[in-house]
Amino acid sequence: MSLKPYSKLPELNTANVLLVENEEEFQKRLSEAIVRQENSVNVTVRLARCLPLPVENAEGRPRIDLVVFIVHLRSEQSLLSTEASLKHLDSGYFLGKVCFLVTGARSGTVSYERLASIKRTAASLNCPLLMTEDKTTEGVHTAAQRVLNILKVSAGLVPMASGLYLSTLIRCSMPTDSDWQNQD
Amino acid sequence: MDADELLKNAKAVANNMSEYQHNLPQDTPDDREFPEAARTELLDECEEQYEQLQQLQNEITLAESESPQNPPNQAADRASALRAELKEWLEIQPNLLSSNPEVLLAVGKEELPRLNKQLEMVLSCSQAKRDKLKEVLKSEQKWLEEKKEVLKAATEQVIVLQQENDRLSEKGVLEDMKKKVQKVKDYQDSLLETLGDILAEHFPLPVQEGNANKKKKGITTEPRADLISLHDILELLMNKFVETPHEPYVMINETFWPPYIEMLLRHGIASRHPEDCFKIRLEAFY
Amino acid sequence: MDDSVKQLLRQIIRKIPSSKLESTLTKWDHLSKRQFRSLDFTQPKWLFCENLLSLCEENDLTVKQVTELDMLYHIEHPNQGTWYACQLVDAEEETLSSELVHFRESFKKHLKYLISHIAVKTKKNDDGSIWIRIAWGDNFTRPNHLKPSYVVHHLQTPYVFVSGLTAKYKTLLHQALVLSTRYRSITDVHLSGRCLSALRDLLMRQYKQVFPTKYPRPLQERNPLPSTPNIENEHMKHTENRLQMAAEVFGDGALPKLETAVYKLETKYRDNGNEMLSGREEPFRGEVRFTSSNLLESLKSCVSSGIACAPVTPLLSSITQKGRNYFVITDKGPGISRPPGPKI
Repeated sequence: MSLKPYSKLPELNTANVLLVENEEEFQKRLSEAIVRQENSVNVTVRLARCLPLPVENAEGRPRIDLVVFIVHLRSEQSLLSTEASLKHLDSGYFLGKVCFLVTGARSGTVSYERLASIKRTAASLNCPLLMTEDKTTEGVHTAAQRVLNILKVSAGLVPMASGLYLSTLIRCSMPTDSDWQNQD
Repeated sequence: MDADELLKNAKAVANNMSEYQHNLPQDTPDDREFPEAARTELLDECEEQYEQLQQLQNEITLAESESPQNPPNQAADRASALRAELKEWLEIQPNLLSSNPEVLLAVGKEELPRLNKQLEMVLSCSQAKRDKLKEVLKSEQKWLEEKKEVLKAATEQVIVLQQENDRLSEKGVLEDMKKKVQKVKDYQDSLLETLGDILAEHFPLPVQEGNANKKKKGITTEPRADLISLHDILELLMNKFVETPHEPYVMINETFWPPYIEMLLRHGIASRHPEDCFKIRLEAFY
Repeated sequence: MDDSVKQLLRQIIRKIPSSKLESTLTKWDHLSKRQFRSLDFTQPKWLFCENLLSLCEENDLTVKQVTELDMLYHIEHPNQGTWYACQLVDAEEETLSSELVHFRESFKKHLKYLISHIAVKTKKNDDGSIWIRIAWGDNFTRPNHLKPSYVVHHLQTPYVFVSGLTAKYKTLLHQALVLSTRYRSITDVHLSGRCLSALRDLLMRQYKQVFPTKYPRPLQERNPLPSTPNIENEHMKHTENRLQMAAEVFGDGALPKLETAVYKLETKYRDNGNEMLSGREEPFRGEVRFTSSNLLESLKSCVSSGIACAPVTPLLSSITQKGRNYFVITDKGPGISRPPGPKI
């Protein structure tokens, strides 16, 4: 059973975000940072390892406004697990309710191929792709802020802006060969 | 219900939700001053909105369960969603949240400082951007100046080099030669002219004296009518000498005035042919 | 004291690291108080050795006393070299316990009867085990004290741990053990490692075991940190299940320290892709070897972090269940082709 974007009623002044990460390590810190930062809106964070989500939680789970996929470029498993999870997500989510978070893009040891492939996926789905730095507290803080911004728009809490519009605006572009040449 | 309507409904839900947030009275201290009537009115409106929301939600669930799960085509879905949203935005009318002035006042009070802050942020942001652009402009201008100078210096250098080139090239040499030749020709012309003038002035043709003289002297050799001037004699001699250096002799005939010939011979300008006394030639001066 | 004894003492002192010298010598107790005080432990080792040698000469120590030093050191620090575990089976009588003196005398007698040129030394340890040091010799050479074998037997249990034993003397030792402990035979348990206490814990199930419960809550019990109500983990139950499973199979807390696990394959090749190898009648012989500084800990964390999929394969869980780390797998099933290990 795949997750559907509009199957439940929204709650008042609430936004819910789902963080999906195979290693289950960065999401804990990120979730704490998110919850700590936001005071005016009631933000709930749900952590998962992969999709599909266990069925037994389905009643208690609120409507998910944003699904964030966290990909660690240092591990191939992370990428594969994310791509497998993508299949279980309803297509309605890709109209502005999905975001990709990539860590470790600055590292020299990581091959460019992984980043290119995740960029291609994000570009084909027209979703935004954020690069983050997960080792320092500032990095986590910044990442939380950015996720919160996107979350507020996807949840409809920002007047005049919708998730679809924002995602079209900041979606990832297809990586070209020149990116790779610049890398060298 | 097809996908279009479905998506439009979805957008409507989202929109309503955003409106909803504003509608809800916040826990502000102003609340206490709220008269009961306004509050009940607001709550009624909230109820209405909520009912609408519920209705839309039901419609959505119905539509989702009815429509077959066709393979999701991302691009088409996205296009229709955008179109639906656009339509919604075009149709939407700005309307008051409620007609109650107290409610509007409270909402306005809250909204205005927020707007103020946002606008301040925008202001500072655009100011920063403008300053940055100014800097960029300055640096670009400087760059342009430098490039212009470089261009100027380069063109000057090019001209100098071209001149140098001209001077030394074949064409230049040819031109030089031509000029020299021209100069020499001019000089020659001027010399000939001067020569002609001098000759005309100092060595004129003997004029025919009038008939009165004829009676005085017994033997008066009347100059021939077709005597050529010294200039012409010299010219003849020079031409013959230059054109045919192996045969520089000119036959003396009656057109030559003998005294001039004698003068030429005596001053060494011309000399006779050793065998034939009727031939003279120009003496070599070099 | 003749030269060979002096040489032996020198070798032994050389083997003992300087940090452990003082404690070992105190326990040894063959030097008088005055002599002991006169020793300077901060000297360089060779100098210290000479001093000690002279003191020992004063006391005129014998080989036996010198080897006692070696044994003391080994008892204190048993984790040198590899230990192999054996088990005595088929008790002749009901009473499994052997009295210490009886065992000691009968073992010495039997072993000397089997091979005469040996030097045997026994010592009872505080934890109820008896340590035996054997130096082997033959008709032409004196017993070699530099390569002794150590045998540890826990008197109340059927387990024997052996280290430093060559194949030549293995049967002799086994025979002697069997004869002196009133069992009928002794088998190899296929458990080996460097850490003696780990082997003992594993065999005698003295590590912290976890039993299946209906409502596993290992996460909450371990990290009672207040997570905010706004954060919820979708896979909480799965994680807890995993942790529980890992703990059930491998135990909790500090796990016994094993270094390797070896699986010898004698099965037919079963890959569909490789035509050359599959479809043959003879088994494809191979060996799978897991090595780590603490094998059980690493396997447990593989399972609990979700890298390996649970449930744990019986091949791995039999390390702890059966207490062995050498397995032979044949086509009849993932059992063991050798005579089965003791049913615990």
